[in-house]
Amino acid sequence: MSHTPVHLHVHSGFSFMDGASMVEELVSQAARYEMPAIALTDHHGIYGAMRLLQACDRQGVKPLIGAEVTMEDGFHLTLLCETAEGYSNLCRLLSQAHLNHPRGSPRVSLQCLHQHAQGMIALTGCRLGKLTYLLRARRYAQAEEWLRTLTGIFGRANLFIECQHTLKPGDAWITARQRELAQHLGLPVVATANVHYATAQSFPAHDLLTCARLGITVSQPHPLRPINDCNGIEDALHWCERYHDCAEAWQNTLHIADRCSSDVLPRNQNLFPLFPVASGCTAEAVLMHLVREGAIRRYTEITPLLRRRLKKELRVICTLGYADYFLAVWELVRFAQERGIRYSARGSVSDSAVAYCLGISEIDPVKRGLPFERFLSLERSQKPDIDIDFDATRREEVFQYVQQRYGAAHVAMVGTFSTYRARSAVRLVGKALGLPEEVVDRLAKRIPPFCYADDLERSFAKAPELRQSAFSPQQIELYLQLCARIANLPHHLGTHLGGILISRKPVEEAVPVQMSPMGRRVVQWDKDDLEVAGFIKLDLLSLKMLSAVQQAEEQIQRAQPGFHVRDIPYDDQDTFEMIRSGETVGAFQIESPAQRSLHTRLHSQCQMDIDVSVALIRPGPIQGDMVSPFVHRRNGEEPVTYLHPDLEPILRHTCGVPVFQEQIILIATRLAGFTPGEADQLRKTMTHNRSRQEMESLGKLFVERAVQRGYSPQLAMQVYEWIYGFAGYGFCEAHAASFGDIAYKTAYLLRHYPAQFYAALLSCQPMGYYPPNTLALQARLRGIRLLPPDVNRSQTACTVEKGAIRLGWCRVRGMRCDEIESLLQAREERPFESLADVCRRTTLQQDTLERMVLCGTFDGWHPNRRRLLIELNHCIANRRACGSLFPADWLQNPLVDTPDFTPWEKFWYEWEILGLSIDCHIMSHLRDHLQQQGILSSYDLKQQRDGTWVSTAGLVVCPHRPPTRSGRRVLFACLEDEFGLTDVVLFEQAYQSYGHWMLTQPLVIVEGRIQHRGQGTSLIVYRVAPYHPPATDDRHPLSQMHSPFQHTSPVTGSVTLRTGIWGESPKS
Amino acid sequence: MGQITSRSINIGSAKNQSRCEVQSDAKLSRAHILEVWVETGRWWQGEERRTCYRLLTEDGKVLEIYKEPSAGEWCVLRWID
Repeated sequence: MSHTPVHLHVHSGFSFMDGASMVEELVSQAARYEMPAIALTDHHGIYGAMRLLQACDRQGVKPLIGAEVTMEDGFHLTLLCETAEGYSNLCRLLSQAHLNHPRGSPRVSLQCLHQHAQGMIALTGCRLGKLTYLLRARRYAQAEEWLRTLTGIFGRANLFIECQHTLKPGDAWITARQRELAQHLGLPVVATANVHYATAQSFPAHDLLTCARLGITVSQPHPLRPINDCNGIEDALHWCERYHDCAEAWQNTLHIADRCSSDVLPRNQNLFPLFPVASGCTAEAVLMHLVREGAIRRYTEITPLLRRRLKKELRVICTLGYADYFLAVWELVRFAQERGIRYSARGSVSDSAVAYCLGISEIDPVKRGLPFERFLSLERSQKPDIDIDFDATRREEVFQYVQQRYGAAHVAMVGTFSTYRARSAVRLVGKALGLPEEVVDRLAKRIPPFCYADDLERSFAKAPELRQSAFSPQQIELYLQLCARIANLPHHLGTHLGGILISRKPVEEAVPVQMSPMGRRVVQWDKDDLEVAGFIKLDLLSLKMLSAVQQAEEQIQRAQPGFHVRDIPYDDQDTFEMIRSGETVGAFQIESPAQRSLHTRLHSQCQMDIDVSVALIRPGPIQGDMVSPFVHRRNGEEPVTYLHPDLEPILRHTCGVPVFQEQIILIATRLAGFTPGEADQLRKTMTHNRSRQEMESLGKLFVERAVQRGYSPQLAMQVYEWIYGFAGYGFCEAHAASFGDIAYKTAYLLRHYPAQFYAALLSCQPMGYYPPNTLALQARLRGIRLLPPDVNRSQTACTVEKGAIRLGWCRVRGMRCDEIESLLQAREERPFESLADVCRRTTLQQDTLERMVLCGTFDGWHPNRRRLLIELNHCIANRRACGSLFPADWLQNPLVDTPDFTPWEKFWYEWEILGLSIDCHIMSHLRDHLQQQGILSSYDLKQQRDGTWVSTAGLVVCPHRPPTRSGRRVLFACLEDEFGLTDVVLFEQAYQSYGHWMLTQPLVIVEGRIQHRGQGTSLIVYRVAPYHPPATDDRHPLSQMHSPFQHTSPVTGSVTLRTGIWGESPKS
Repeated sequence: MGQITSRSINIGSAKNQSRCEVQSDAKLSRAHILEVWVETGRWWQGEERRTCYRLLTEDGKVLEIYKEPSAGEWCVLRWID
């Protein structure tokens, strides 16, 4: 037996703000000290259990699973799983602690402990344990009684008195009293160190997290704030020193470690429910039957190729035991079809012909030559992962169906761990250090949203807006170091966007469950942990674009009842002409500046061009310079060549450039004779695990096998290095096809039914790339009028009225769902006749009514909105007076002639309330002034020659800084004026000098050179200045506009933090 | 007791040692080590961790001391009585 003691009370980062080291770090430290085992006892959870298992496997350390729980009286208790039964009991105990108590305050009752003690070993707890408290209070009789209680629950053999000597005041005295009591009662003692970090170097991070958790600064003492850094994993020497007169204490750590099984967690089990089939039948047989039926429906002819493909897929599915899973998904989509819920599969499931025949996917992989092995193979160790997007407004129905179908105890959401990113780390560290709030806030807001905490140092060096902070270089250095230390630590359990797990047995028996903020049961593991355990998850996602498509279809069907989106032809030339022109704002996936620019250069003509664009416009391919070669070859500017003729059938549709992951699989299969499953493993290794040794070994295998098949070694190596270069950037073609399908259909709607489509987009905000005002502008540019909300005409959603878009109540900021319902219900009886009528018959609040007046809702009754506001006050007073002691006509009607708001004021209120301008763009109000200064409009820019130096101005829309191939900082944005959008780019130097204006000012003037590419025009910017309105009057609305990142409403005073997105959904 | 200098204190470093000698004003006396603990201090201001001792002197006085890490001098944290 080893003589190195074992740590049995250990907190990782999964103790959420009470652990400063990740599981892997803790295990490494234990392995460094040659400790034979290590326990993980995070607060009320086993969040890190799977990672412990995997880290221990790698390091040759025995994993012990446990948790530290808080009893109902607030005291701590440490629990360790001795057996698999103990593990199940711990899961139930933790679930009940979470589910039966307020969220965030899980508690274990004694009764629960009684019910679920079997198979567990209990340690009496840390300084926050009841035993320690009673001893310090000299309540020895009660301490003895508590120990007898615990003995009654766990049994004498399963209870240990936990001694913790971590060099804090009082530790020695407490330990001495504990030993006396142990001797008196004949109970064993065990030493722990209440580990909260791997090494003392992590103590500052833990201290900061503790201060943040307690709501104090580092300058403030607190009883729960440790005063030293002795809660790390220390070596055996330290232990033996502290327990020199009680060797039993540390020796018992080894006894306990020996007793506890390392195999308590579920692993590689099949936990998916069995599909109910008739007696004598099997799930496999049912699946085959459904696939056969589906194939007849989908294909005009069952060719031998198709038959072989389906047979192969079914063999793999059934061999791996996933027939039940496929049947469950088939049943789910059938439910959606029956209820008319729009859905679309995404991801690699569209590589499956079985999924196509079952109606799960709408992409025919046989026709496209997509290999099934990208989705599933015998060689691949991963479980199938089917992701389905649903109409966002109806996804909840699908969730409810799943719960009802399988039972609530068998269904739970997949967890996810939110970790500290740069902004949150900066805020936490700043606050804990006691820095002024406004300084910290200013600094945090300047950090890019997707910057990681350990990447801050680089961001600081490269970003001009960050360098303009209030700190000295030394302060910044300490600050950044501390942020980097807490980077990637999880701070709470979140809920996966749509991941749901369905279990054959109650979920709580395999993994603890707790409640999410939205009131859903969520497991304490993320998707990777669940996969190791043997759960198969299903992703039920929501896609607002599907909601928009649904709404557009319904609007179109009012005039064309036979119209269906599913019947849209794939070869509509008008649609492709529009795509080639770059006028695709609003279309799914192909509306961003990069996409629009690509399509103007690509002269897109077919669905494949759209699918390729989905794959290419991503950071990886752009950084890897894949876009230009494809474009040049596609346009015939470069010859399309292949390293070998055998590669042509695989790469023809992408002009010889590997774009899709499936192509890597096919190349490895064709040239090196890999089985498709092996080829997918190769692809995965290339993508995720790029260690030099592994790559060399794979390369050797590839070349050997290719040579065996008659290819030259030089060619084989050349092909291998070539695909290796692309593998990191490849995209799943099935996913590109699924998204490309929606992209084309939305482009078709945009081309042929723009009013209905834009109405739907405006109803489904926030969504898409552009803010509502940009969509409104695009609609106007297409000759579509926008009409303000109308009290007697508007619905909740925006609708089409004689070719114009009638804005709906969803666009009125702050209008609640119950108010909308009240209005619509009252109107159903009879139309409203006056403002007073509205006030009488609805529950609309005064502020909502005011906003409705100000955005023109009642213009049909009277165009003077100021007068209507005055009348409204009278109507409200009347409403309040009804039923009071004072008769209603006691209140005088104050209707007098009063001048209306100016057009500028009306515009401003509409902008504030609706999030868009109805009939003109803000820039049209400024055009005269701009023209006087020689500043061109976006329309004028298109007329300029390539390379001309120009000045232009506009609203900054969607500024962003994607990663680039060179690593230099580049900022892309759109400038919007009344004529449309101009795509602008600031390269490194311009970005360093002027980038902060683009990110902090709503309206800017830029100078730069015109660049015409294909049918598109963009501007390379060299100088930027904020635009100041001509009036110095503070009441000028422009003086009230802030950065697009932050908008303060003059109506409500609320602050919205959205990048250029101004709309909100109705409040419920 | 007067100022405690670096030559006046001897704290046993071997285990089981619970006594030390305290010298002050040329007077040598023994003290019982009541407790030992570690404090990390104001790490954000660069303070170093220190090991503190609570001593019971022969004449019944209790004091807490620590050794300044960089200077190596013994300092009195506080006199209890």
